[in-house]
Amino acid sequence: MLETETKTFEDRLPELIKTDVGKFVLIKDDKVVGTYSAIQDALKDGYEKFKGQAFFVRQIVPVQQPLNFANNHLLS
Amino acid sequence: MPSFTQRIQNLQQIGPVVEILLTPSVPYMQSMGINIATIKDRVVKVLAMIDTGATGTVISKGITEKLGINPVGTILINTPSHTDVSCYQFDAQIVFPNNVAIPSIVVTEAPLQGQHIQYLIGRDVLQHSVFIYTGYDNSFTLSFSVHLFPYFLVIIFFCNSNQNPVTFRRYQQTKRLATDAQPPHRFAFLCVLLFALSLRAIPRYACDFERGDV
Repeated sequence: MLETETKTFEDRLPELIKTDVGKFVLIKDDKVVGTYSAIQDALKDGYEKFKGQAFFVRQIVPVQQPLNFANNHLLS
Repeated sequence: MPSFTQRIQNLQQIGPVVEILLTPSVPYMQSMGINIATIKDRVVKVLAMIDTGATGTVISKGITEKLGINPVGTILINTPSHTDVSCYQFDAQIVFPNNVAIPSIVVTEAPLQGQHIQYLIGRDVLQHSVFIYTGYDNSFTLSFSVHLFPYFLVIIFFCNSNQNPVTFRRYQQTKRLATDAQPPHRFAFLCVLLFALSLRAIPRYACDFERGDV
């Protein structure tokens, strides 16, 4: 799930960085639906357009920082 | 200020854990035209641990199926044993004790080892809160605060200027600068105005904290 959207994001990232850095992008399949200043706006639009289906929201930043966890409950 | 306090026997061994309720997020329910009353079977009670070592909030695998929600993104995570693992992210509502609720927060789904913990409350939640860990009392408190500080700085600055009521009276007594000074009622009005503004100046995320319906 979301493989197509992830690839679309990676492909479109260079051009998105030029125009919408810091914003949140909403992607469904291979289409960029829009960019939003707040993640809540992207999620709300995604729910309204796709009615509970999976979609892809990610912040547009030059370097994607992974989340870090010190807790050894995770993935041990 | 919305808050709750938990007291746990042997807090040092068990850690700051709390039972919370998870539901589909409020924006999801609004767009789907549903409410909590109609999806009671999709409200899940889990045991969560407050984890200051976690960048973000984590939900155990399998919970999202009970919530009946689809992913809203993917993210890479690093753990003590793995790096750059791709995980799904979901949008959910968290309801803490005392009906302190976060209507919409993006959580990362990952396998959580161990029988009792199904949810990690990370620094994405903590950045909007005050977390007090009182070890000798085996208790902890989580509060969600409004941002009043900048406005009180303005009031303090104003108090120290030559237009506050104290200096105003002094100027009146000495018959100097009486025309320049502001009457005391204006100062009181300014304080009330700044306080009202501070209540309106809650950041967008903090506004999302509201009393839940569950």
